[in-house]
Amino acid sequence: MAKTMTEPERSNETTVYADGGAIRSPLKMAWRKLRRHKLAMAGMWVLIVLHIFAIFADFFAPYSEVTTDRRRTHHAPTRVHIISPEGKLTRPFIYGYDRVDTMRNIYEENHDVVYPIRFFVRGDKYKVLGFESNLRLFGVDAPGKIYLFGADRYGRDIFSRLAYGGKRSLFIGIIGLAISMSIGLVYGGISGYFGGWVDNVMMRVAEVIISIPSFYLLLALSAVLPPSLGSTERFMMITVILAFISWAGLARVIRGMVLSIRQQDFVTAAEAVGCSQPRTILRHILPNTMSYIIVNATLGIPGFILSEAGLSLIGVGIQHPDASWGNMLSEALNLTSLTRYPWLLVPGFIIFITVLSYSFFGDGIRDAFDPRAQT
Amino acid sequence: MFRYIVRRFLYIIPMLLGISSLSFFIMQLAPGDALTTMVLSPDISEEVVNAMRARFWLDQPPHMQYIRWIQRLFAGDMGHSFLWHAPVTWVIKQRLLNSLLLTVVSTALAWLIAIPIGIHSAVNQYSWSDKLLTFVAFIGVAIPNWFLGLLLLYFTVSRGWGFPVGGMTSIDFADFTFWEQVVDLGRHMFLPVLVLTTGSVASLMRYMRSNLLDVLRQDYVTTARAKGLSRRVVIYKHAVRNAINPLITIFGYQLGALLSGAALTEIVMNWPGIGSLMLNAVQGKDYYLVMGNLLIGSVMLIFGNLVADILLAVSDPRIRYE
Amino acid sequence: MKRRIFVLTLLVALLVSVGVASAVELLDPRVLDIEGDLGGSIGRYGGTMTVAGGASGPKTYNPHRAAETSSTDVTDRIFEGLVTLHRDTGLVMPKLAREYEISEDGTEIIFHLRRGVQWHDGVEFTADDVIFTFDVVYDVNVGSNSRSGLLIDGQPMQYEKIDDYTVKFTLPRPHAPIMFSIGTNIVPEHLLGDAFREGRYHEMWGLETDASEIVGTGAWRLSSYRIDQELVLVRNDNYYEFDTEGNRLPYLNRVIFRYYASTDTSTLAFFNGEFDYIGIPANQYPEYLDREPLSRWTIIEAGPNPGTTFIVLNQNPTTLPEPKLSWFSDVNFRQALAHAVDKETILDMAMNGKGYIQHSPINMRNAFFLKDDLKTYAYDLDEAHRKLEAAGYPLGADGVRRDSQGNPIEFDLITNPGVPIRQISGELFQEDLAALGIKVNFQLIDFNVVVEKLTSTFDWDAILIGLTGTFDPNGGSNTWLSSGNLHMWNPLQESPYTEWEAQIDEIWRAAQRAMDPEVRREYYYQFQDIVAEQVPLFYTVASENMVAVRDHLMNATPDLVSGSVGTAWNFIWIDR
Repeated sequence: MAKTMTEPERSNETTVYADGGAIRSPLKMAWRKLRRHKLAMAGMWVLIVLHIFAIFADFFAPYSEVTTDRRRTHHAPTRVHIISPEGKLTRPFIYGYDRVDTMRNIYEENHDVVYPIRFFVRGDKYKVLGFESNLRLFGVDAPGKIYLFGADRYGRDIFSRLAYGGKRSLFIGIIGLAISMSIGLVYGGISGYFGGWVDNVMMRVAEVIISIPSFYLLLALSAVLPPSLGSTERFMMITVILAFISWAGLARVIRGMVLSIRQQDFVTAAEAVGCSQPRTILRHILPNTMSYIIVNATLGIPGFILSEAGLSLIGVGIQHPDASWGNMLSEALNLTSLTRYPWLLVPGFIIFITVLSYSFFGDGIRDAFDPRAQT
Repeated sequence: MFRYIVRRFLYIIPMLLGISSLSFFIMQLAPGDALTTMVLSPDISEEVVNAMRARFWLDQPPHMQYIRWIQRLFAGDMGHSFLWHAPVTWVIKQRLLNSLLLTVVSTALAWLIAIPIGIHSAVNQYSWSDKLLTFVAFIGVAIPNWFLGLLLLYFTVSRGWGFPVGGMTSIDFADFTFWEQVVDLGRHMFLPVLVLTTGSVASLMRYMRSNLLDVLRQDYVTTARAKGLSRRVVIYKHAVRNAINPLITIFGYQLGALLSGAALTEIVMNWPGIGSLMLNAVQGKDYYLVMGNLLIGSVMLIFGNLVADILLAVSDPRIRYE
Repeated sequence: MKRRIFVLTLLVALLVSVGVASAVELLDPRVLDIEGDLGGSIGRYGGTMTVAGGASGPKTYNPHRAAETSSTDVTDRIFEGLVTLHRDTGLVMPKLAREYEISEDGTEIIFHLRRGVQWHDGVEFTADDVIFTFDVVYDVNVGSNSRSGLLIDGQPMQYEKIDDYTVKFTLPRPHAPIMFSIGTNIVPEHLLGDAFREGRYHEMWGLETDASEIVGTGAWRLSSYRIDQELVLVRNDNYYEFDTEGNRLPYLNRVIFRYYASTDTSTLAFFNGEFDYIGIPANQYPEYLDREPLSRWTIIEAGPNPGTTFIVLNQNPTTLPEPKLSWFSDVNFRQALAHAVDKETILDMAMNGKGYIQHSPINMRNAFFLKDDLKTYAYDLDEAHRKLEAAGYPLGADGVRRDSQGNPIEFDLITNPGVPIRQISGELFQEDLAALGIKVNFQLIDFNVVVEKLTSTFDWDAILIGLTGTFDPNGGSNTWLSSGNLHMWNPLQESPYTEWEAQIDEIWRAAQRAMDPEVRREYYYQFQDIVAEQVPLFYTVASENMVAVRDHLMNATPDLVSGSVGTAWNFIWIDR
C-alpha cells in the first residue's frame, strides 16, 4: 500500500545485478540474516507448529469437528490432573463432570468418576491421503469427554475445531495469496512489459477494482454466493473472492517494477538475442520481482486471515457446522459468551497469534532481503 | 503538471462508469430484491408487491435498470432507497458527517501520535524503548479493530469505565450548551476513536520508523554528518522531511478511506455512520443505496490517490508527471 | 442549527396558538378504569421515559407505508384506529369510535365517532378522515399493510359517511375476524387528501418530513428524530382519554426511543441505567437474572412469544420429484419424523430453557382458542424408528433407511442464517435423523432465497422457518387455506389437493362466518385436531417474552395479548 509506482528506485536497487542465475546467493544471504532475527524465527516456528497442527488435525484432535454432545452445551474446559486423589503422581486423568446449573451451564467435577487420558486411541473415523483411519493422539473412554479448551453451544470440542478450522483459516491465506499473486504477477507483468495503450487499459481496469472500497466489495460479493455450495466449494469461493479484491493492488506494484526493470540493460540484451516476449517476461523480468513478492506474501497472508474472520463474523463466510477460526469466534462475540464462556474467545487469540507471527516473520524477511539493512 | 491533473480528472468519469457497472452487475447476481422479504409478511398481498416492483423498475431487466439509474444520476438523483422509503442522497447525508467526524479525528490523532513515536523509535533504534514500541505496534497491527472494540465495550461495562456503549450523543444533547455538547460528543467518540487510532498508529509508526531508518542510511546523511552538521539538525531538518515523503501516499489513501475505512468498527461499536448503513443496505438488497455508497466511497478513494500524487509531486521535486 | 431550532420553536408556538384558537369541545372523552379494569394505579404527571427501540428506528412516519415493526412501533403511538383490542382480554374496544353496532346478520357495522377529538394540529377529527383512510388502504398502489386483512374473499367492504360522526360499513358476507383488522390507523384527510388524489400518497411523510408536520390523533406527538439514534415523542395535551379521577392522560411528558444496533449494547445500556424498560432477549436471560437482586429493576415474565418456528416438508406435486413426494405426503412418514424433533434441547440451547414447547398453530397467548388436549409428538427416536418400520421404511444393515422401492431416504433442509434457534433446530434435526438412517443435508441460505423458494420457485425439500403470530386465529389464513400463498407445503391450490386440506378450508370458512365466539372456538378446535393428526409442520418452541422494568416506573406491565409494555404507555407514570 505504501509502495507505489512513484518510488521504484528503492525496490530495483536490490535486483540490478541479479539475473536469473544469480538469484540463489541472495536467497542464501537472506536466510543467514533471517536466522539472526529472533522474533522472526520465533514467528516462523509458531507458524510451522500451527500448520502441522492443522494439516494433521485428524490426528491431533480427539474428536471430529462435527461431533456434538447435546448434554454438554458450553462445557467448561476439563481440568487435566496428574496428582491422584491419594496425592501421588500418576498418569494424566480427568474427572467426570456434572451439569449442576442448566440455565447458566455450570459444570462441576465429579470426583467419583475418573477417566485416564489414553494416547494413540481409536476415535472418530477420518480419511487422510486416501487412507482411512481412526487413530487419534489422545482421548478418554466414553462416556467421558475431554475438552481441553471447553465446548461450544453444541457440545463440540473447541480444541478439535481449532485444528480443523486451521485447515481453512490458515490455508485461505496461503491459497488466496497464491491466486491473487499469480493474477497480479501475470497481469502486472504484461501491463508493464508492453506499456502503451495495453498498459493504459489494463491499469484502468485494475484501478476500477482498487477504487471500490474493499469491505463493501467483499460484502456485495459474499451476498452472491449460491446457496447450494458444499463446504469445500464454499471455502474455495470465499478464497477466490478474497483474492479477487486484492490482486489489483499487487498488479499495479508489479507493473511499476516491471516498467523500471524493462529499462535495464539485461532485458534489452535478452530481447536483442531474440528471446520471445513471454519468455522475456517469465524468465528475466518476473524473477527480479522475487524479493518483493516473498516479502509481500508473508505480510499479505494475515490480511486474508483477518478478512475471512471479518466475513465470518458478520455471518457470510464459512458456514456451520464447518469450523473456521472466524466463525468460531463469531460465537463468542456476544455478551453472554464473553462473560460466561470466555473460552470461546480462544480462536480470537489464535488468530491474533497467527497474525502476529506472520508479522514478525514477514518483518524479518523484509530486513533479510534488504541489502542495506544491518542486523 | 496541470495537464496531468486535468487528465486524471477526465479519467474519473470512465472509472466511475466502470465501478458502477461492475458493482451493479455484482448486486444483480445476488438472488432476490429489496421487496422479496415483503412477500413473507402475512399482511402484504402479492399484488401490492408487484405494484411496488413496477414503480421502482424492479420488473425491468438489469441493464435497463442500470441505464435508468445512470440517466437519473446525471440529473443529480441517486435513486430511491427501498429500506428507507427516501431518496438515497438524503439517507447518505444523514450519516456522512457522523462517519467523517469519527475518521477525521482518529486519523489526525494517529498522525500526531505516530510520527513522533516513529521518529523516536528510528533514532533510538534497538534501544529498549524502540523494542517496546515496535512490539506494541506489532500487537496493534495484529489485533483486528472489531476484536479490540468488543473487548473495550465489555470492559467498559464490567469495570464501570463510565463511557457510553454506543450512539453518538446523549438524549438531551439538543438542550446542552456548546461546551457541554463538545464534552458529550467526546465521551461518545472516545472508545471508537481509541480503537481506530490504535490500529492506525501502529502501522503508521512502523512505516515512519522504517522510512527514517532507510533515509538515515543514505549517503547524503553520512555526508552531512561528516561535514560537521549536528545529529539533531541532520535528523530533524533533513532526514525526517525526506522520510515523511513516502508517507504522503498513505495520507492520500487514508483520505480516500475516510468514508469506508471504519465500516466494521462502526458496526461493532454502534456508531451511526455509513458502515452500518451499508451493511443493512447490502443485506436488504437496497440496490440504489448500495450503489450510492459505493460511488461516494470510490470517488473519495480516487480523489485521495490523486491528492496523494499531487502532494508527492509538490513535495518531492524529483517526481515529474509527463 | 440554532436558527432551525428557533424556527421550530416558532412553529410549535404557532401550532399551539392555532390549537387554542380553534379548540373543539371534547364531548366524548374515553375514560380508562386504570385501577379496576387495567390493574394499575392512578398516577402523577411528569417525567420522561426512555425505552429500547431495537436495532433501528422507523423508516417512515406514514402509517400506511410502514411495513417493519421499527416503523409501526412509532406510528402506532401517533395514530390510532376506530377500535382497539383490550390489552388483557383481547376483546374489541371502541377507540376513536365512541361505540359500534353490528347488525343481526353480521353484514353491517355502524361506527359512532367520538365528537370533539382533535388532530395534533387542532383540526377536528370527523367521518371524512375515516372514509379517506379506507380509500387509502384499499388503493393497491399505496401498499398498506392493512389491506389484505380488510378484504373478504378478495372483495373490499363498502363504506359510507352517514353524517360527520357516523360511518357505515357493509360486508359482502358475515366475517367475524373483520373487527380485528378494522382498527387500522386513521390518517388526516385535511393534510394527506390532496397528495392521495394526485397519486403521491406513498411519497408523503417519509423521514425527511419535519416532525411538526406529522399529525395524528394519538396520545403522543412526534417531536424529533435523529436517524437510528433516538426518537422523541411528547405528550398530546389535548388527548381524549382520562383516568377515573378526571385527569387527562397520558401522565408522562415525553417518551424517548433509543436505538442500538445490537441487543448486546442495548442490554449494556440498560445495565448502565439508560432505559426505563427493555425486552430481554431469551439468550441473555442469565445476565439479567444474575443482576436483578442487586438492581432497582424487576424482571417480568410475560408469556410465550406469539411467533412460531417450525420445519415443513414440501408436498408440492408439481415441483417435488418422486420419491420424495411419496415420502413427504405419507402421513405416517411425517408423524414418525415429528418424533425426531428434540424440542427440549432446542429450548435448552437456544433460550436457556426459558420458553414453551409448541404443538398447535394457534397463538399460545390466545388461551381461548388454544386446544390443550391435542395429539402431540414427544421426542422419541425409538418411537420414530418403530413408526418408520411399520410404515414401510426399513433400516438397512448398512445403516441406511430406504423406502419400499429401495430408494435411500435423503433430503435437503434449508434455513436462513442469523437466527440461532433455526440453526440449532436444524443441526439437531439433522443429527437425529442421521441416527434414524436418514441423511439430511442442512444448509444455511440467504433469507431472500429461502423466501423465493418458498413463494415462487417451490424447489425445496424441507425448510426451517418461522412466522410472526397474530392474536386472532384468522391471521393464519394465508397459511392454512389451501389457496393461501403461505400454505407452504403446496401453496396457491385452485381446489384442495387432499381431503384434509379440503376439511380445513371448510372449517376455516365456517369459522369466519360464525359471529358467536364459542362456535368459532369449536371450529378452531376441529382445525387443531386435523393439523395435529396430519402434521404438515413440525412445531418447535417459542421463547418466553420477558421484560425488565425499573422499579420507579409504575403501571408498566406487559399486556396479556402480546406481552408488550407499549400498550400501557398512556397510563404509565414515574414514582420519585
